[in-house]
Amino acid sequence: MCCISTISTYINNRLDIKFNRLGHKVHHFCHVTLALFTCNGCGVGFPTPDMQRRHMKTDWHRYNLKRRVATLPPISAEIFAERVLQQMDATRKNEEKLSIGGGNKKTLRHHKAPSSVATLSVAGDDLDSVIEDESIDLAGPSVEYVASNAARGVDGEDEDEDIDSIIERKLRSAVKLPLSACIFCSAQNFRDVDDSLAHMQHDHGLFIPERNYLVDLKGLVEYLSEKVSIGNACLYCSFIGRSLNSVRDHMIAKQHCKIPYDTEDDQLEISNFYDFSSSYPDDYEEEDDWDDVASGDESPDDDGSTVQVAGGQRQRRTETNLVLDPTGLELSLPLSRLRIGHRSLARYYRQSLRPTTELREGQGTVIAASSRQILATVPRDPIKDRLTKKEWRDQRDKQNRDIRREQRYINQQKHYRDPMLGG
Amino acid sequence: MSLQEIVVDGEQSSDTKNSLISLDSPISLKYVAAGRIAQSVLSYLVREVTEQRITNVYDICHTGDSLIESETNKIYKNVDEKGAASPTTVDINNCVRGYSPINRDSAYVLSNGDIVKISLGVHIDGYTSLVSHTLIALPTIPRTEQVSPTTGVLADDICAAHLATEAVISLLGTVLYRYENQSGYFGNRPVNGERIREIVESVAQTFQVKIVPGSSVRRIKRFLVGQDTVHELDVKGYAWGSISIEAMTDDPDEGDLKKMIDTEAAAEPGEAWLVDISMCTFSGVESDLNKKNSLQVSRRTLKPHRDLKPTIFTRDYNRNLSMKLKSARGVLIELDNRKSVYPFHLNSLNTPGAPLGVAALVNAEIVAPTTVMMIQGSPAPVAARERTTILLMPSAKHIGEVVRLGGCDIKPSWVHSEFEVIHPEIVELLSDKRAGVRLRNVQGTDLNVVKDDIQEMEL
Repeated sequence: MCCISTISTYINNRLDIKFNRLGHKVHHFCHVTLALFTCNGCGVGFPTPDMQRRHMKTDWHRYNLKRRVATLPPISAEIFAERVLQQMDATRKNEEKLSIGGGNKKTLRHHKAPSSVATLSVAGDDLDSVIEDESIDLAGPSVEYVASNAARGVDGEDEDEDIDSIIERKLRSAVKLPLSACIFCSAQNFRDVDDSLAHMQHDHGLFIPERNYLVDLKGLVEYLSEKVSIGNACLYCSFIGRSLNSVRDHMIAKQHCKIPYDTEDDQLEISNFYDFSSSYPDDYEEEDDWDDVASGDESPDDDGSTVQVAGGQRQRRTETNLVLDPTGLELSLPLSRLRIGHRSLARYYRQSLRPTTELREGQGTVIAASSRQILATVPRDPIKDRLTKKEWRDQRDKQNRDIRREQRYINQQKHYRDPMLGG
Repeated sequence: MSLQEIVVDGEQSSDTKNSLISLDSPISLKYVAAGRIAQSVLSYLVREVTEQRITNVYDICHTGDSLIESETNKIYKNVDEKGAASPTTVDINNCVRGYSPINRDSAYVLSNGDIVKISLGVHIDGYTSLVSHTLIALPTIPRTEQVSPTTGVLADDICAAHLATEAVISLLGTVLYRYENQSGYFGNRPVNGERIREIVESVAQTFQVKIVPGSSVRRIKRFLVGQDTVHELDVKGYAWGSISIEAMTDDPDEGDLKKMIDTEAAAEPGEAWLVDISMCTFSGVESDLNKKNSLQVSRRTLKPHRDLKPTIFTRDYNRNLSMKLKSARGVLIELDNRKSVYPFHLNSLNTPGAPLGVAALVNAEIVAPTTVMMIQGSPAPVAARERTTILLMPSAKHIGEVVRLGGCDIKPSWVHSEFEVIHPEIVELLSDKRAGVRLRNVQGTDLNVVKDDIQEMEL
């Protein structure tokens, strides 16, 4: 076929057909010094099989395969890269054109088409359209990916992308989402943030947690929109889309148009926009863990340290003079006048004893005199107890040893028993 | 091991609370004060009964309790635990102990010729005086008429009880000195439980009466006067039957008695003793049946009363249980806060639903009832009881004296018995000289009792 002939001519051109002493045709691969492992579809060769395999996985190779299917000649890496760039530009323009319109389903569907075209580099699903119209500009975002990949495919670099390259790619393809635009759909005609938030709540079910403690609403919305538009990340799960549209589709389809707030990590993620200090109890004194190392101009008080935080925030006092009990089981906090018991005594702190009734003289006398019950027992001598227990233990061990020792001798017979005589 | 240690230690430490040094010491003063009140109330009640001003038993008991309460409240204001050491009980004829009715309507009304045993007790800060007196309820006799004294078994009964008590008191008093011109009776042998037993049993034999189980002559201590619920370890003296009537056996030498009471230990100066002797008549039939110890009423005849339910209870402080019943809990709280270790009467509880609560407590054995005991037989036997508390008061300079807390100077009923004490030892003890024992009686005061007050108290 065409390709094969191309390939064969290629190889023939490269090969010097020599004749040996015997006059047989010998294919002498003198010109092809580094290309032992080839890709016939793309017309390239690699020195190592690894590089060949890596090349097979690239988009460029796949694109060439499709071209072969469409009975087109293969293209080189550079031309492919150019084409991808062009396609990127084209799709961006298309997107901008389409997003100006209202956010209804038709546009959505419409939206879908260019998105799939735009992502030709990754999936290569609708490559037909590209192949048909070779002048179509290829999507931008994937260009560098492909080019770099192709280059890498030849050079033999790692196929896995660096995080940096991902970030760069994302940044480049970031669609600037205005503040009063809907994060989840392409609706943009809102007057202000509240309006768009209302739309998001009504149509997509977005609920902003702890609204009354929220200080920076705009910041939160900006953060969320950046998360979606630049990072293409789903708010609720760990899905990362290829583009804004992809992640939007995911969020809508999976009903992930919500801000996660269940785990502590989720809460911490958006905690910057909240201020919960009004919910703290009155005598709450925060531990000032986050003192700046630089600010060394704190004047320590007598008992603790009173830090004047700039900005008129509440005074935070830390407990510094902690006093440990001689037994080592109790810690006294001077500031809060608390006493902390060691956890090894936790079972005793948790005990709830029957309240002891104070005995009057008569009762005490009667109980003490009675033979049935004694009020005050002889106090246990711990040393004596230990010795007694040790004795018991030793005795028990000795018994065990004796039993085991006996086992060795149970078969020993004192008196000879002649087997003949019935022993 | 440990038990003995504690007991011994306790003994040594509480000796300071129990030993009597002199009449001026605070302990003695409290005893004397208790004795005075006991004597006063007892003599008042006896007077009221003999002059037939009170005939309903409930009235007698109620009056006695109220008087004790009011009198003890007047003195020793700083002492918390004081009051009645035993509710006033009135036992008639064959009833031996524990009868104190709860309401007036169902109470027994005295009739002529009844043998009435009035018992009561007073304690101040644990120092107790228990007294009992037997009298015959007879119509008032004008002086002009000459009437013969009561004779017969009733007379024997009363005489025996009275004389036995007196003899024992004298005997105990002999420990206070060395009888110089002894005729060999007192100085040689220690005055211990066995000795006391001999004396009392010989008197009983002389008058042909039987000793009722539950009688005892024993040393008492602060708060420990032989309550049912307290099982003291070392008790001096002698008890017929058993310390605890419930644990009684026919043979006094068996089991409980040996463990509970030390009959070998001698009385010593500085101790307080309780002399409680009940004698009862017996019919000829019964004496044949019980040959082993014919001087003691057998268990088959001394029984809980068929009809009379116990109304006096004692809290057993060795047991502590949380009760489910609300009234039981209320009663327990009241007992632990207000009542002491002595028996209390059901009427003295203020908790609502007290009878129900107390019944539950009795079931749980937190509270022990004082069963009303009676002696069965035909013809119905009659029991007489005399009870006194005495202090063996030592003295450095001269011979010590026996201080009798109550039960003295009450005119005994006019009886005449045909029997007479023969035994020389006892004769000497009973003589006016009392074998050299100095006896001091705690006198009662005339109580200005206003009838209206009593009725107010009733309400």
